[in-house]
This record gives sequence, C-alpha cells and structure tokens, in this order.
Amino acid sequence: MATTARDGWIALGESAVCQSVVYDLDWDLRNLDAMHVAQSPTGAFIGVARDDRKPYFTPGGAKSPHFPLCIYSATGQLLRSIPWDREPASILKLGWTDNDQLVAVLDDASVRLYPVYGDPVALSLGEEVAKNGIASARIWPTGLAVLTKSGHFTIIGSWSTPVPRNYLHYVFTEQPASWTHVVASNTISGSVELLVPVANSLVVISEMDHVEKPYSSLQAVQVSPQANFWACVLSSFMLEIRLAQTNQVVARLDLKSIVEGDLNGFQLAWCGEDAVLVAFAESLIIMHMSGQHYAIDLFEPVILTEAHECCFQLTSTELTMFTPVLYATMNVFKIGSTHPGAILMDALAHYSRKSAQSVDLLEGLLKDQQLRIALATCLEAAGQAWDPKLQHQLLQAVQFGRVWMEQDVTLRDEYTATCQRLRVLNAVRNRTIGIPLTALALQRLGYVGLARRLTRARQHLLAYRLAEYLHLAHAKVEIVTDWAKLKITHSQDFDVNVLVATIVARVQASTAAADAALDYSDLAVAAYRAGQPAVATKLLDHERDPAKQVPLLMDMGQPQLALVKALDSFDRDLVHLVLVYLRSHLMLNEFFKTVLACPRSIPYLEQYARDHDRQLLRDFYSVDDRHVERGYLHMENAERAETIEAKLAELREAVTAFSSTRKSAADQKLAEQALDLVHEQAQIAKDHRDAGASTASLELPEGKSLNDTILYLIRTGQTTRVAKLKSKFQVPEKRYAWLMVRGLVAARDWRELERYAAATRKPVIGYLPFARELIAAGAADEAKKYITKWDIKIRIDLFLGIRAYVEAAQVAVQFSAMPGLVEIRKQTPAPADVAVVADLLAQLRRK
Amino acid sequence: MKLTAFYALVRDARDQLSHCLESGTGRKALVIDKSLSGIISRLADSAFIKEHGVERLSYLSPQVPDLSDCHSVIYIARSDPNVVKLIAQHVHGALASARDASGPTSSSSGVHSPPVAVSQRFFLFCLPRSTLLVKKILEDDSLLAEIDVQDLEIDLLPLEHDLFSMEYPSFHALAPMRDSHALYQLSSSLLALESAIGPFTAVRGRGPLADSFMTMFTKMRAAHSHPSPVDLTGTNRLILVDRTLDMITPLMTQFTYTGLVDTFKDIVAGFVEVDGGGQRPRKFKLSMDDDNIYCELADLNFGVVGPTLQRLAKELKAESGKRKEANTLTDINKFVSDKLPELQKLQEALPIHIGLAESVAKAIMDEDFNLVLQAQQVLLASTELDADLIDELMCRNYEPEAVLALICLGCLIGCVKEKQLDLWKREFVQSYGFHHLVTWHRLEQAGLLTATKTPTRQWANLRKALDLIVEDVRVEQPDDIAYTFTGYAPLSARLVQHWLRPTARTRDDISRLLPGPPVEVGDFGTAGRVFVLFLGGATYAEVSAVRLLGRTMGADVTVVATEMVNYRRIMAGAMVSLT
Repeated sequence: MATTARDGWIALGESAVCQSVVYDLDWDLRNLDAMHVAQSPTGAFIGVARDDRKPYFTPGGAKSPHFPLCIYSATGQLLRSIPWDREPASILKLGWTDNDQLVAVLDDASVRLYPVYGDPVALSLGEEVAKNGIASARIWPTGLAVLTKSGHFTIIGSWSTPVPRNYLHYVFTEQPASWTHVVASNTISGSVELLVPVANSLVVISEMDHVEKPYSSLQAVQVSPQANFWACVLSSFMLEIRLAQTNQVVARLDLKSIVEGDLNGFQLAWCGEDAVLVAFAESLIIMHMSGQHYAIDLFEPVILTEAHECCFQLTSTELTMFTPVLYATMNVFKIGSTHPGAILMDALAHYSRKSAQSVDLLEGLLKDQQLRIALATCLEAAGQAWDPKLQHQLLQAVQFGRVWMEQDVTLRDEYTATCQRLRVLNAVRNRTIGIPLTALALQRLGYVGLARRLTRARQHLLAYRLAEYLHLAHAKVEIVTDWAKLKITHSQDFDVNVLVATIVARVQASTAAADAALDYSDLAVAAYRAGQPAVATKLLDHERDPAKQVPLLMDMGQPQLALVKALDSFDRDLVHLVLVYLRSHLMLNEFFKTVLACPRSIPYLEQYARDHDRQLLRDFYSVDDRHVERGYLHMENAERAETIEAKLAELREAVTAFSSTRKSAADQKLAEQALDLVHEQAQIAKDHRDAGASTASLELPEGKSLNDTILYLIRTGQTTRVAKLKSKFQVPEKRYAWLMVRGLVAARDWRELERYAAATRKPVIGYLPFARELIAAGAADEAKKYITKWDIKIRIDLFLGIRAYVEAAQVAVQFSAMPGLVEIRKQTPAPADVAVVADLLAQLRRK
Repeated sequence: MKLTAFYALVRDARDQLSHCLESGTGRKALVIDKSLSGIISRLADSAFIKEHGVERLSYLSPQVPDLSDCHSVIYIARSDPNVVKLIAQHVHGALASARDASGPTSSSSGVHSPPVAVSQRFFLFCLPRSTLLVKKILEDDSLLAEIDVQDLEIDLLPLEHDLFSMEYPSFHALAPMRDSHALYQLSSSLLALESAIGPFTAVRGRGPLADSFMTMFTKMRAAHSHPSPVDLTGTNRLILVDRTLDMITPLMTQFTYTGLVDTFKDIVAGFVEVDGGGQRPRKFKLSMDDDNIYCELADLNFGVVGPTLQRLAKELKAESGKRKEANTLTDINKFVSDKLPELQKLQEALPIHIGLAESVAKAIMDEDFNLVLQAQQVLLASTELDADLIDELMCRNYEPEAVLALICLGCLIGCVKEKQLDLWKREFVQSYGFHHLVTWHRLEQAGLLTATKTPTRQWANLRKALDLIVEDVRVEQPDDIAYTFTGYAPLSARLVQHWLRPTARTRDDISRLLPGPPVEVGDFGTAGRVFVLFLGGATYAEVSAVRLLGRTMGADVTVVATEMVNYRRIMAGAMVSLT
C-alpha cells in the first residue's frame, strides 16, 4: 500500500519532489528541440510550431516546408491546426495567456493571440519595435516582454489592455545573453520589472527607472513564482538559490561536477517555491532549497514549463509532472513516520487484516488526543493525492477514524468539500478531458475559473454539470451563452424562427429565472458575425439592457430601431450616441427626416446640438419651420459673438427669423431695437475716438443695455443723443426721469440736476428718488434741497438718514410730533445740534 | 440604524475615489473639472488626496499645464463631450511633447543614458459613469488605447446625514419636461441605494415628473434585477415631490439661516466662501456632523440667529473658563483630552458663523430687499402684485434675478395680465440688455412667465385648503413649517406633511386643486425610513421644513434632491451663458 503512495518520490533531504508521468502523448512529434513548444499555465494545452531558425527533418527525411501552428491537448490530441504557409512572418516565440490563448510573437513586431477555438486577435508592438526588430522575447500568463535588436525593452503589461510600453530610458549597446522578468504584482514599483545580467552586474529595469548593481557574473536567472527567490546559474556553472530580498545564498551546487556532456543551452525552471530544475541535453538536475540535489538521465530533449505550483516536462512521448510533496502527504507516507496521520493509516491497515492491533493504535491516538490531527492530515493528504485509489484509501481512513470521535462540524464540512473537490479533479484529469490539474492549481483557479477553462475547451457538458453540481449560477449562464453562440455559428438550420426558438428554449430551461440575466446581446453579436443578422435582431429582443442593445443595432444597420430602443431606455447618452451616429452616416435632409419621424427624439437633438453643434440646430429649426426658436437661437449666438460684425449678422438673422411669423411681431421689434442699439453704440464709440479721449475715465457703453447707454450719454452730457434714443426706443417718461436723475447724480452735476428738477413742474417720479440717489451718492447737502420738496411725513426719516438732526427736528415741530422730537433729541450726537433741538423741543412744549 | 444610508453613501463614494486615485504608478497628477471640485473636496480633503500619492493638483482649463514630470495623469470629469474633447487635446499635447523629447536622444544614447522622458499614462474617470459617446469621441481621436477610461460612480453627494444632493442642475431641463436625464440619473442612484439599505416598499407622490420618475424607476429596476446578496428587511418609503407642482416656493425668499446664507453667499456642494482673514477668501465646509454651531443654527429662522449666536458665544466662554477651575493635574489632563479639541473646533467655527450672519443681516437690512420681501408676502396673502415697485426696481437697475423672480411669482399666483407682461418684457430687455429676450423665452418655456387670461381663484383656494399662510408664526421653537418663510408654509412641504399623515379632506383638496396623476404604490404605513425626493431641486428652507415635519411626526426623514436651488440660481440658470 505505502509503496504505491511513494511512487516517483525523489527524496531531497527532509523533503521530496514527486515525479509522475501524467499522460502518454498521442502525437507523433519528434525533435521537440527544433520546434517552438509552449504549454499553457494549467498544463491543459500545448502549442507547437516550427522554429524557422533551426533545421527540421521529418522522420521520413524530407524537409517539411509548411509546418502549421498547432494546438494539442495535454494528451497529445490535435485540437486545432492553423496553416502557416501563407504567413509572411515567422514565429519567434510561443506562450500562453492565463485565459488559455496561445500567444505568438512574430518577427514583424506583431503579436497574435489564438484562443483554442475562435478567431485570433492581432496586436502590434509599435513602430519602435518594428523598426529595430526583435532579438528575444518572453511570454508569461499576464503579459510579455521583447528585447529589440537596438537594445531596449518593450512590454505588454496586461492582456486586457494590451498597450505596448517602451522602456526607452535604458538601452543596451550589446545584446545581453539572457534576461528574465518579474510580474507587476510582485514588484514594489507596481510595473513589470526586468532582470538583465551584464558583465559583473545586474540591471533591474522598471517602467520608471533602472538600477544597476554589481553582481556575480551570471548566465541565467529565474525568479520563483511568488518572487521570494532567485535561481541563478553563474558563469562558472554554479547553481545558486538566493533570497530575492537580501541576495543571501540559500543553496549552492556546482553543476560542472555532476553534469556530463554539453553544458550549454540549458533550461531553468522552478518547481513551486521549493526546488529548481535545470535541464541539460543529457541530464536533468533538481536542486532543493535545502541544497540536496538529484540528477536524472535524459534520453531525448525535454521542454520544461513552469506552472505556479509544479513543473511540467514534455518529451515526444509523455507529459511528466514534478510536484513538491506537500507536508501532509509527507507526514502520512514517509517511511518510518510516527505522525498521527501515519498511525491512523496503519490502524486502518490492521483493521482490514482484522488485527486487534488496530484498536490499540486508535486508543493510543485517542489517549494522546491526536486523532483530530490524524484525521485532518489524512483528509488533506487525500485532497492532494493524484491516484484515485490512494484518495480512496485516505478517505477511508478518515471515515474509519471519525466514528471514534464526537461529531465535529468543521471536519464534516471539510470532508464533504474534499470529496466534492476530488470528484471534480478526477473528472478533469481523466484522459478524455486531459487537464493535469493539481489541487493547489484548482484552488488558485477556483471552480468558476475551471468552468471557464472547460468551456473554452468546448467541454460544455462537463462544464455545465460542474456548474450545476457546485451551484454556480453565473458560470452556468456563461456556459449556456457560449454553447448558444456555437450553436448559432455552426447551425445548419436556416429557419430563423426555429433556430431562435431552440436557443431561447434551451437557454431558459437551463438557467433559472432568478439567475443572473443572460447576455442576449452577446449571442446577437455572435449571430451577426456569423452572417445571421435576422437571428441577431430576434435575439436582441430578449436583451433587457438597452446599453447593450443600442450599439449593436447600429452596427447591424438598424439605426431607426436603435433610436427607439435608446429612447425607451431614458438614457440620454444612448440617444445622443445614436444621433451622432445617424448624423455622421446620413445626408443632412435624411437625418432630419429620421429625427422628425420620431418626435420623442427632437428634444434630445435640440439639447445635444445646442451644446455641441449649433449650426445643426439652426438648420433643424429652418427645416422644421420653427422660426421663433431659430430667432432665439440667433439672439443667443449674438450674445456669444466675438466681433461686432458677427453680432450684427446674428441679430439680422434673428430679425428675419422672427419676421417669418406674425405671432413673434413683438420679438421682431425688440430684435430690431437690439440691432439699432449696437449701431448706436458703434457710432458713439466712433465719435468718442474721433473727438480724442476727453472722457476716457468713463467706460464706453458697447455691449451694454439701453439703460446703460443712455446713462453714459447723460453723464457725458450728450443731450441731443439722449433725446434721440429716448424717442427712437420709446423710453417711457418715468424710466427716462429715473435715468436722468441717476445719470446726473453719477456725474455729480448738481446744477444740471436742479435745472432738470425745475424744468418739469413736478417730476413724474416725484422728488424722493432725487433725494435717495443723492444720499446714496453721499451728497447729503444736495439731498436736503429735495427732501424739503417731498411729503412732509417721511421727511423726518430721510433727514435722520443723512444725520440732518436739526432739519428733522424742524419738520417735527411743523406737525407737532412730540414723541418724534423727543426721539430725535436722544439720537442727536453733536452738542451744538443738541442745543438747537432742545430749543425746538422747548418751543413745542410751550405751544 | 439612523445613519446607514448616509454612511453607505460616504463609504462607497470614498472607496470609489480611492480606487481612482490609486490608478497608475510613480508621480501622479490629478486634473479635476472645476465644476466637480466641490464634490471631490466634500468627500476627500487634501490629505486624503496626498496619501494616495498625488503630487500635483490642477483644474481642467483650455491652458495645458506642464505635467511632463508626472508618470500618471488622472483626469476627473463629467461625461460631457466638450470636456472630453478638451482632455483629448491635453493628452495629444502631452504625447507630442514626449515624442519630441525622447525621439532624437534614444537613438543616439549609449548604455547608461539617463532617463530622458518618462512614459506617461493617462486615466479618465467619468462621473458618475462613462458613456459610449465619451468612448466614441476618444476612439475617433485614436486615444482610446492611450487613456484608461473608467467610472467614478458617485451619484448622490451626501451633504448631511439626512440630505443627499445629486448636484446636477436640472430645474430648467425638467420643468418643461424636455430632458429627463436628471430623473434617469436619480433613478439609477436610488437603485444603487436600494442595494445598500433595502428596497423601497411604498411610494407616494403626484405630478407629471413624479409619474415619469416612477415609470422609469420601475422599468430600470426590472431590467437590472439582481437577486439581492443579502436579505434586506425593514421598510423604506419614498415621497416624490414634483417641482412642477410647486414652482412658487423656490422663487420665494427663504428665511432660515442656511437658506439665507445660500441666497447671499451661494453654497456650492456644501461649501461657502468666507473671509480668509486678510488673505484670499477660503472655502468653509458647512456640515452638521462636524460643526456643533452650524448644527444649532442650520434650521433656525434668521430672526433668532442673533440671540442664539450670543448664547453660544457665552457658553463657549464659560466652557473655556473651566480650564482655570481645573486645579489638579488629572483635572487639567481630562480637560485637555476631553474638551479641548471640541472647544478649539467651536472657537474656530464661531467667528465664521458670526461673519456669515453679519453679512446676511447687512443684506436683509437693505431697503429694496425689504420692499421685495413685502411685495412677496402681499402677493401670496392677497393675490396682488405691486406693479409700480417692479417698474421702479428696473429703473433703478436692481438685481435682475430678484426682479424676474418677482414677476414669475406674480405669473404663478395668477395675477399678471398679458398686456402688463408684454410691457415688462420690453422694459426688462431695454433695462438689462436685449440678450435677456432669450432669458425671457426660457422662463416662458419653463412655465414661469405665463400671463393670466381669465382670473382664477386657483391660488386662493389652494392657500385656504392647505393652510399656506400662517398668521403669527412662532419663529422660536417653531410648531409649523411656515416658520421657514416667516408666514408662508411651503406648498411642497405641506404635501409631504399630507403624505406622511393623510386626511380625507386634504386628499380631496389636493386631487381637486393640483395637477396629476397621483402616484401610489404599496401600503405607506407609519413605520420605517422616509426618503423625500425633490425632483427638480430643493431649497434649504424646504429641507428645514421637512426636518421639522420629521421631528414633530416622529418619522426618520431623509431629503434627496437633484440639486439645491434658490431664486438666484434658478434665474441665473435661465440667462445666456457665454461658455
């Protein structure tokens, strides 16, 4: 029993690495070293292409001229073959993204992303790279880096926004022999960093700057998956593991002393954070963190692929996996282990042989209170085990031990979860599916991630069952959507209604109503791309989110429908988007026709055009015979106009527009007046300039209102002009009087003011405004003259307002207001005035 | 759980902002659309922004600032095409200068070339969310690859624990029912709020805006139905106040402390400009949460603000005096740790509020202001408008916003004849400029300047039925909402009062006197939180009135407004802007 559990273990001191053949490969590929080979991070897919720089011979001996770019499953099944004979560029490097797209870096500075199934995406690395050419490249699950022949790096930091960034701040004059990267999530700078060994130093380049520090002369360096350690191969073929932080050497091994044959052209890869693998032409060296090492002879070239928690090794015949043996497994199965877990297994073995020693062992565990530990350890080990038989044994041990304990809810839940996980793992590891997934990798990926991977590999049924089994509502929707898309694209069924009905029925049957809404727009896009616009439109009817409906309908050449849907959504921005689209795709009159046919859209057009395209709004009002609106639009434009000429032109347009209909006669008159006023103001300014700057202190009235213009004229004494404007604009007497008073007071022309007051026997506005304006202007003495002309009752307050206490008192005496007079006396400050007021008070008392 | 909604909003908004500021690496520059600066500073002070590594802060303007030394440039703007075009120009400029700087050097430099120009990264955060149009503009400008466009989902700005504002100028857009975008936005922010505090189970309201809001809300709720992650219980109720039913209140002169400060000092996103003590004016944050003095003053009728300030000053002095009484070391220590920070805060806030109150007092002492105030009260109480006063105000070049507001009030009450209105239009444009023809037209469209053809008793009936004029209103310890306008009870708040506790009589009166349709969903009941939505803007005085209703009727009330309005902002909004 225990012998099978330790199969493939390579003991490295206290620890071990397990070497196990996962799958035999069905392909008939040879000479892997003459090809580009790349395995995806989960190990599920393998990309293979010919390396044009190396000679290649088929087993028959004929040189194959046209080797396609191939995607194989992990069992060596050909999944996809992409013809390469027509491609002008050759492949420099292959790699995989974290969502299973094959990445090919080509020598024309472009990058292709091939999903396992589906259309490729092409990206460019930019002019700088195209101009200089690529010397070397590295691809990792979240990005890539290339080193150009001119010596600078260009990075794509994420596949979601694949924008190439040139690290131009550091340029190598000589091509470095090797280099490596650190992913952005593991660096302090927050950007992708590159480690480049140059003679006796190491250059670390980040997006912002670079550091060059003296370092041992290196041939190659590889950063561990979590960036805690660096594995370095020195020029002297010394293999070292160093702490990334402090650079302290943790383990060291002289490769020259143990490796036979050619030392050049090695591969360096990490196996978890525990050990480093170095593959030479004829041997593979494993060095553990503890410094213990192990050498394996190789009989054919291998390809190493570093995954997060293990390392894959490909040969032409089999896929092998190196995994660090984890703590729990180690404790249970290590020879001579006295760990409670091992004892529990032992007890189970005795029990199956009906040996009484079984009870002794269990009682021993119970006495030491170590049964709980034993159970947990076995359960953990079961979760990590690859072989179903082994899993079974371990789970059996847990079941066996559990009855000796009181009910433990945590343990029970863990047991259920482990069984669930193992069911999933065994299903996907099965040769028919062929995903060599470790328990740790599943943990990192999550069930949803796994479901997505299966979907991408077109294992819809398994994915769906997985989602159902684990109650993953969102994933289920995704899987069904993907299935439906395939159905649409590959359907031979040309009856649109039948096809749509089939899909919708299936979709609705397999997703509960309470689940997240299914993205029908996604399906519609697929249908449209597959050349089935009718299906697309029909499917879109089921879409509930207009923000997804509308752009699609526009792309599908149904802008009218898009407009209606946008209006239904109440989302202004969507309506504007459709309008902008229509405007750029239709002739002007066609555009207006479309808008007018849909009256609800008119306010939106008005609003958009008012802010962004006023000419369009003008045209629209003309076409729609909305002359009054057009008139107001021109009035608005006039106010914004920058030159007098432009302003006049706009005002004239406004007058014309208003004159088109009788109901805006009043507005027409006012617009004409506005026009006249601008003329008058221009004339005033011209005369002012012609006369030379005599009243430069006063701002010219250009752009101001009629009142302000008249005020200016009064203040500058241009009486005839005032009269002219008064009659031309039919200024009412009352307002005219106010303007005269305000103007003359502002000019501080008291004589003229008096003359004006006297000219009319009693001004239409009375004398109060005179007084108030004068008071406001601080001319108290002048104000007194007018106060006396005004209604006697409010004179007191006015006098008091300008601190004319004596006058106030005199008024009070006139109508014998005793309390008022007393109040005035209280307020009076100046002693001289107090005497006079007191005198008056005395007079009144006597009366 | 009184504060849940408020804290949920603050927390979400700050999370959004932090995420925004954490974008990019290296030296960061933040460029903010000026109109959003209030919202941003309400949520985050400069320390918060600096903590996130922002070293340069500037406002977006046509002039391109030199940010070439920054690795990341973060723009925050509304999804307005014009603003986005301006940002596109900036980015193009920055890219061009970066090319010029790096082009010749990179080809000739050797191994150890110094860093020449940093490669910059650009982020655009659209508030409240980016639109397809924004992306299309950037795509057309071939910048979509250069600028990382993301959403800054801040819909509702929490001004106070019971007052949220969308800060979206919508009065004019909504009033004539032309652009319902504000309702759309409010609707989506309420959906977001729902997911934080639980569903709205009952709705009451009336009027066309309330109706179309409800249609929109129901439809959007159906389209975005996600099974709620947690089972949220508790009842939240909605009251919809349709501004088109009550245009009178926002045109009246508010008489609460905050209302008057807003009228004369213009509160923007909860900030008011105050004297900076010799230096340039600084922004002061009005918040009842961190300012105890404001907490006392905010809802007071201005008549009692003076005495209250005096009392507060005295109390403060007495409290500070206690320090001298503290004799033992422990007493002093206790004083310093418990009371001192609070006292210092008060000592800082008190003079600011005194300053604000003084400038308000000065403004309301003005003779013309009092004439206008008197005219308003006469108009409401006896349905007569003093035409001579309006003429005279125009002749004297009195503040055009106030004149227009008074004319509009006259029209709304229904006592302005067509001939008079035409005459005023001519007088107004001749006095203040012919471009006000457009202003006038916009107000006509908003339904604010409509002449009365045949005399109606509409207003008189409404006034009587809803008790809108209250004689002898108590301004100290008020018992009626009429204290907020010194005698006039805002119609909007009266409606809220009715919906909180309906009677058969008022229900009949309302359906007889106010336009419909009525909005009634669910059983309103008396338990649970109430959210009062002002569709088309609320005044601070109305907020105070609603607070009083909440207090006297024992309801937990929160006001949500599309924007905060007063007569000045409404009138200024109708005037031609030159930008």
